Amino acid sequence: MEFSQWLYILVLLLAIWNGIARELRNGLSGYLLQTAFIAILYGVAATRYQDVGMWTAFAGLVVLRGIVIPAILTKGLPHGIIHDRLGGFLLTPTYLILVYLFVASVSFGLVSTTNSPWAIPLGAGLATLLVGLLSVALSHDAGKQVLGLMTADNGIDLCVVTILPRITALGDYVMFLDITLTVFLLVILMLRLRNEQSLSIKDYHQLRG
Amino acid sequence: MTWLLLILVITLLGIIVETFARGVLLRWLPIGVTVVNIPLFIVQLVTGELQTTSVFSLTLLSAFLASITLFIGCTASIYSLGYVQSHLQEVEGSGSRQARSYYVLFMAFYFSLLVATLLNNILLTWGAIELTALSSVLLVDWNHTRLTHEASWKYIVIMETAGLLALFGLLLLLASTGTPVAAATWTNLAQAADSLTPEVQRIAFVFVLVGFGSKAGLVPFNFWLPDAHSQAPSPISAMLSAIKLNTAMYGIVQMQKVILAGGQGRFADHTLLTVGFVTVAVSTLMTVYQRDFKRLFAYSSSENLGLVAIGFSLGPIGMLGAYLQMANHSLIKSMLFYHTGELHRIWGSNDMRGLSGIAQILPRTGRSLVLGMLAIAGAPPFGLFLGEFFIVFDLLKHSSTWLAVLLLLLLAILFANFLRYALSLGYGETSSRLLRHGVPIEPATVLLPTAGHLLASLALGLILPVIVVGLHLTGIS
Repeated sequence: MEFSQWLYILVLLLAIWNGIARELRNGLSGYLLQTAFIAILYGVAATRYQDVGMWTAFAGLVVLRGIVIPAILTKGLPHGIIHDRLGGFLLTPTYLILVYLFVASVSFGLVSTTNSPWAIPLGAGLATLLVGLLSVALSHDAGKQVLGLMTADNGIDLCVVTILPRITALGDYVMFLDITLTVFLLVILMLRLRNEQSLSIKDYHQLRG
Repeated sequence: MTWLLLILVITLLGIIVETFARGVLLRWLPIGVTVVNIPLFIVQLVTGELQTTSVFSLTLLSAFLASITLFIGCTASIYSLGYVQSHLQEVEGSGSRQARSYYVLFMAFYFSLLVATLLNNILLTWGAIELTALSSVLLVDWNHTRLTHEASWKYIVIMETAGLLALFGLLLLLASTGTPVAAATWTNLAQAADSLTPEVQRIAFVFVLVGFGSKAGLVPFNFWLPDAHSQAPSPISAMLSAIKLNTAMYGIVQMQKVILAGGQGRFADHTLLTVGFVTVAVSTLMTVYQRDFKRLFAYSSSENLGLVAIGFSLGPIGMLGAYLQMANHSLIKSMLFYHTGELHRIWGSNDMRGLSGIAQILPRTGRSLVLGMLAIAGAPPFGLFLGEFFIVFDLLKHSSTWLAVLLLLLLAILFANFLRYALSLGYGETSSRLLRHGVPIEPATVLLPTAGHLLASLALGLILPVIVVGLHLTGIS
């Protein structure tokens, strides 16, 4: 297996780590490591193709995903939310890991049916995406849900690496700005939820039927 | 595409100016921008042909959807004038700041809705559809209550989740094309579609359908819709229902075209037909017991988009029905949401229990509400009837008689529900609570847009058959 393919697997393993992290701070560290690995993949592609657009995308990835998003979270949210132990998991960590591994296996299996030359990158991308989304679904905590969406977005970036030569830097920036704006809005909403005395989504269930 | 570009530039400038505007300019600028854009778009259609460049794509579908956006955006801005003013009279304190946030976000929302259907680049289209959600999140939470927080959190989390799933489907297609796609445009992808394996196309379509289907309010991914629609300010509910759902459906239809070019059209049609049917069935049943009139209309939106999905899965007549359904649903549903804003102001809540006899206190509003509710349920001679007729007709012709009968049964249940609600709200015994602040007035900012929408839908229902018969007689198929 090539070196770059190990990076894809590492990003997936970090997604599982993020999914079971008990503090937002730990999850954020996992997210930053994921982003660093993806940045290496971007850098390798940009070097191979000698493409200015890819280097521009690389810069956007580092600045928006690696600096701005963590800054929005750490500066925007109170210290306690970042460092406190999170509750609201629907499953224990052991079961969570099993579920995530099952989803990852299904993802690789699904992508392998397409006979794509990009089976490992796309499989890892889909697995990371679904693990991120599952961690949104399997936690009641608002902070964990934000982290889950950020992880899922890293899964999308793994897929983007496979088509970097085919899209413009503008396309990359659309995706980076989307997640940046999403995190910004989620932080605003988290502050509003906090004013209602709870960051557990379980406490907000009046809208039904 | 000069005029199109001008429309987008004017709207963007409008957002910038609105950020710093005050007083009269703050309130009237959105009306100015949305009114000016309509003749500019007409000039674009008259002087330039429908064409596609590397950036823009002005096809029949996108021009049709942009027309709806321009019209509803304009009436929503007119309606907002009275709505925001009366709302801020009730809320003391940070009025001007709240008004500014409303109008700036309104303009951003309008821009994203407009641009989403006009772009040819796949990732930019996806980004614009995402922006329709992101620009409206804080509008859903504009009233700053516990319920609006709940609705807006659910809204953004589901929108982002759906967006990522749709994006994966699109990236899977782009990564799997045998020949490199020169630029990631819908046109290029459709041309390269025959190099894709059936498995790739099917998996990608399912992801895009789940992603954009969630945004279009298709069952089983529509649980955000009644919450967001019921908690947003009424003009925003109108835009969410009348335009935003259409832009998501546009994403599905674009993908369907790619799959069709790749030889997997039948798979796409069958999947869309199934999802459409489930949506109509579940949404119709959800309208049976509703206490909140905005939630009732939200489920009706879901039902209508289900019909649109069915229409797009059929032949040309079904597709014509889908187009008509989209246009008429947008016209009627937005006017119904405008009325809900007025009802909320007078009645004090969205709860329908105890609310009746509106036509006796507010004759014009009451009659218009009843007519709108009948129109949205598919009563002739409004345009929705025609749309439903075409869809059922094509279902009989191209699909199964049993499915057509089942669809008719569901539509009959929905009609009966809406008739019951409409008669009770409009003509039951007058609720004394309607007079709690004295005899309410019926402002022109409500009556004009709602009457305009009703007349437009009536015209579509009355004139179109004449055109179709005329074309048939002259031998044009």
